[in-house]
Amino acid sequence: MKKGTVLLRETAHGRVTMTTSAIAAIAGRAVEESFGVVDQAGRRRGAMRLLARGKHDPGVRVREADGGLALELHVVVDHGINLAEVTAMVSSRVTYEVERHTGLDVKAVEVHVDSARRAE
Amino acid sequence: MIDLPTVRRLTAAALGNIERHRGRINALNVYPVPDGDTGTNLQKTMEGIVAELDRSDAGTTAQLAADVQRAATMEAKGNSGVILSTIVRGMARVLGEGERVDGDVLAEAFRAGATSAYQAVKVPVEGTMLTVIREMAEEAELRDVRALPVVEGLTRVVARGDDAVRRTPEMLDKLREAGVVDAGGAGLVELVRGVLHALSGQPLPDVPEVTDEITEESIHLEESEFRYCTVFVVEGDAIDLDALHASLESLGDSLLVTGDASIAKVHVHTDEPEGALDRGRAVGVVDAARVEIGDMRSQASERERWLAQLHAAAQAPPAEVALVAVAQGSGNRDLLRSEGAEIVIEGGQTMNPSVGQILEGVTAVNADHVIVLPNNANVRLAAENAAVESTKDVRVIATSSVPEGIVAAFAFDAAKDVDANEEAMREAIGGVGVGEIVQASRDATVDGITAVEGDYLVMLDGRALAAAPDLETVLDRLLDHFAQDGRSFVQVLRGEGAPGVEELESRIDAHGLEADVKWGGQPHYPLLLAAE
Repeated sequence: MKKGTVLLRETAHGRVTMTTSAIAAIAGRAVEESFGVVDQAGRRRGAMRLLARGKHDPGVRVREADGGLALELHVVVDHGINLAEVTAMVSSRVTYEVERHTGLDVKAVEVHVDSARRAE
Repeated sequence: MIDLPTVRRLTAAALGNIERHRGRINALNVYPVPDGDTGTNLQKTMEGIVAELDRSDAGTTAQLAADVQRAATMEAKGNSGVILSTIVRGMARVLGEGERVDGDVLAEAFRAGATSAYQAVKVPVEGTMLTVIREMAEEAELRDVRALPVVEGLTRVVARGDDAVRRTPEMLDKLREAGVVDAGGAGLVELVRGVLHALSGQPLPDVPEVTDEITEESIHLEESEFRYCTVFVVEGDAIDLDALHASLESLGDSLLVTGDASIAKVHVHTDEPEGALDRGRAVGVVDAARVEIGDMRSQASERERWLAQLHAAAQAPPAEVALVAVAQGSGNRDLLRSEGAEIVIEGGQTMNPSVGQILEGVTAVNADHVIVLPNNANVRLAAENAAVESTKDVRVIATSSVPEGIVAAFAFDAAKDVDANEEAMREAIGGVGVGEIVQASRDATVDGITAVEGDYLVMLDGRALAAAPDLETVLDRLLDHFAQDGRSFVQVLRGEGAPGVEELESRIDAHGLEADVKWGGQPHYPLLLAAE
């Protein structure tokens, strides 16, 4: 299989695969709709960020792990919010959405809170 | 008015009411994750706030507000609890500034609660607690509500909250599909209702029973072993709904009988749709025009065919650029495929494909650059959304009809790069005249042209040109236009209800035009034409 793609399922017609960047887009959408998350912390900065407007910022990394997926998320949260609850919610929501869309098991989710501030 | 004993009494009242509703609210919980804990989380969060106030010895309103804010943050449990904590923080900030509460303060407090919640999320999702707190704030801010005594003002705010909760399924698909209102929003209203009734001294209304109310949308999420989804309406004088339900039970599953003694709607999954209709005819009149029988197995095999198409596209040799198109009609899809479309999605005027399906197609093709032909004005937005969602470089060429799409596809050359292709395709469709002939399903006036039901209506480049009771008249009008515009060649796609090939060829020939007539197979449009 090509690098950066994940096998979703084998059917009578053959294999169905998905790119990790497509999975990252699903996870990214789930993150940004999570209450308490005011931004995702990606690698793009400044002009790169403007150019990539509308594309999902790679505040999400996806890799295969133990027959499933491992996700690493970088988020900026609302200032003064309950961090333990927000990170637990992000984790469960992203797991739910990615498993629902791909049918794969999410084995691990690491949520990194990069900073805290108010939404713009 | 705002002192520790009062705040203790009101928060305890809010907690008391959420306890009564906990089971009902847990049962509503399908969003964001259907884990059935919304009522429990709201209750735990309130319990934490109440316990903190029991320990508090705040002597000033400001100190009291600070205690409530800290407690809300620390004790927040789950998604709904965290949203509640931000609302409470915003409201407490306003209430902590003064000693007394009137309509203006109430309005400011609800607004601060709403603002605080909306600021805590990058992409607010409507149809949730956010919508409910915002609408309650809007109600509190109304001039006449501000002027009311607090109890009456709060009564209006709660009524508006109830109304907002009722409308949440219209705003959030996941709720509509599950046939429920938003759990967090419902819980929020119960908290405020608890406070209101503690202030007014009125008894609280009864808790609605938790009923497993099923809707047609939610029932379709169930797997069925039966083949036909059968829906019909029975009209009669004294229909016994329970008896009708019982008579249908042995025929299948996912049975739903609604209505009253004069009209009943039946929904059932069965292998014997005629048998189900007979049960209806036994108790009343079944209107043949309102019977819907859907073959669920063919729907399932459609999905299989789609997956096979995705798979084939993914296995194709890597290309610089790939073409993805949308069309209705088997002939049209074959034509687009033969002109180089890697994936053709079924969809059009009456059946818009989802953003997700277009995205699946774009993702599956073995190319980093993708050109999408929506071939219908209604599909264009979905295609553009898919382009934004995709991590690939996706260009949407806004073709508004299948013949236009075929002309564009004809200019496509997989050996050239994406920019050259986009330019060539845009240029190709720039000079094309597009004609569409449709049979009016009801009386209508379009662009000043009046058609009565059953009339044929012809559109030229998206604008109504003429209407007449027979197809030949409107086709002649269109061909006249093509000839006057100096066109020489007409591509014709025949759909359901189209005249024969020879008749079309001779009619086009009579206008001095060259014709290529093909079977498109599209529904609703007997003819689609493109002229160069």
